[in-house]
Amino acid sequence: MQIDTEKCAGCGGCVNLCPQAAIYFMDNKAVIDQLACTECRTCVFVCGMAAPAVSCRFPQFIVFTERASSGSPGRRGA
Amino acid sequence: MKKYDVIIAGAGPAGLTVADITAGQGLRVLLVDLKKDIGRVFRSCCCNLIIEPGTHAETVRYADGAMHFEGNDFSVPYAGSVIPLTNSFKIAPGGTTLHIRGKSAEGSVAVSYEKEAMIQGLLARARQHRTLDIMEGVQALGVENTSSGVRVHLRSTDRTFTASGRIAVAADGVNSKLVESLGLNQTRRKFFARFKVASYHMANVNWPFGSAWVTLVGKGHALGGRGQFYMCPKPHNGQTDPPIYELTIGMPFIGKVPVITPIEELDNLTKKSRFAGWFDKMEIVDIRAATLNFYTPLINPVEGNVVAVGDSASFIETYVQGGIMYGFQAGRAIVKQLETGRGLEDYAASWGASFEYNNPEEIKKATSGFGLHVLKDEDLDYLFGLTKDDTIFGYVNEFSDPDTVRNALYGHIDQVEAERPELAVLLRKMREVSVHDALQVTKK
Repeated sequence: MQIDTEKCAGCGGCVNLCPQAAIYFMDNKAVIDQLACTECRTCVFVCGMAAPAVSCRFPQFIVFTERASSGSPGRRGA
Repeated sequence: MKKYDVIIAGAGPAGLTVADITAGQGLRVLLVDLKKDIGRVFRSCCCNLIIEPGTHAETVRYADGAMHFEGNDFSVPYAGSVIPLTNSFKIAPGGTTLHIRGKSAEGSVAVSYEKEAMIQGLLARARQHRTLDIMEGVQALGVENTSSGVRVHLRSTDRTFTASGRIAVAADGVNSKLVESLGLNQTRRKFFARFKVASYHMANVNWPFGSAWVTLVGKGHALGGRGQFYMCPKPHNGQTDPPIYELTIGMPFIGKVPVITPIEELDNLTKKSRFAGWFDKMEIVDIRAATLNFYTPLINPVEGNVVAVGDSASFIETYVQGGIMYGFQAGRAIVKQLETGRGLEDYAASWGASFEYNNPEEIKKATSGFGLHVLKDEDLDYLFGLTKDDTIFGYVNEFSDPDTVRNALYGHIDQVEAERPELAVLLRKMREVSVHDALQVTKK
């Protein structure tokens, strides 16, 4: 899960309710520790501002590239 | 880390009051809060001073730059503005309105005020005490009772650590980690729903009600068929002009069932509802939010060397003023406990004696209006319509307000009997609903 800090009102509700205690408060906005998050979606269900969303955890590790042999797009982990 | 006399988790109205009282007596106090700016408020919360005399066995009055708690004989500096609300309007989905007038000496049903100004007044006074340490940006994760006191587990974004003390205070609000860590939530009845809440502060509203508290009652107001809408004028940064209005939207949800969000409800209410005309030129100047877990109040707010104050012990029933009042009593009890070895039981006793939800008669009053939500929208419209020539007096107060509404509607029972006998049966049943029935429905 990731939190859209533009939408986050900073109420701290998800910080206290996250069962993994994976959510921190930085600059009065909720921020999710991506290694501790288990994607249980509690934050999604409790947030009144619709700020948390499921998003790829490590987008920078997913690279699309052209495979020389087949010419079809493949995926490579970094 | 040094050993503290008192460790307080949460710098809201209750926690700050405990800090002020205990550090004011020279005790070594540590106050931690999740936020970086204690003086700011980002949460939706009660925006009114409940002025009905005797609420929580206390009467609060605003005068001369301070909030006076007359029963407990103390004051809190308050540099903000206030707006006395002279009327309360409850609007049914069809537009009929139940009008409640202020019956206090000032002719008000409640007083709209600024929570930030209250917090800042408390904080400034507490900061004058040299024995108070404040850590901002620190979350309390849990607390343990030990043979000599307490250990509180804390963390900031870069470290996890433990603070030791003699007494801990759980002032960490409605979703309290400390109360949860002690297992005390297992002793409470949990209401089946949670609430997602959002508050919008708005400028340029075409507000037809003057200084009034407005509640939208019934299912038809909400896109999702259920929800709560409250609106009133609100002082802003010490000013009352230009007028700012606070609209609070609460959406109940059960478990992990997706619901329509307050954002969608805001859009519907301000653009498509019968009230859209109010919001033609509306501009949102501030947004706040909250998530509420509904638990019944703790019967005993003291567990070993841990004292629970404010919302951590009682959901919203304490309101802000109740948080401060119970914080004051807890602070004094802690001072006495550390001096004499006895004192915390004083706090527990005052809680039990003054707290409405521990009083069967008060629960009966509050739950007597229980069932309003089982009425169909058309019934609400019809019943509210019957009251249009009535003069009804009351307060904005969750304990007495249901009683006021119930009595106002019941005053027309003969006409309802003649015109809509089946509705009269329902109205009588509503009046007889017991506390037990009410609580059964809220069983997990």
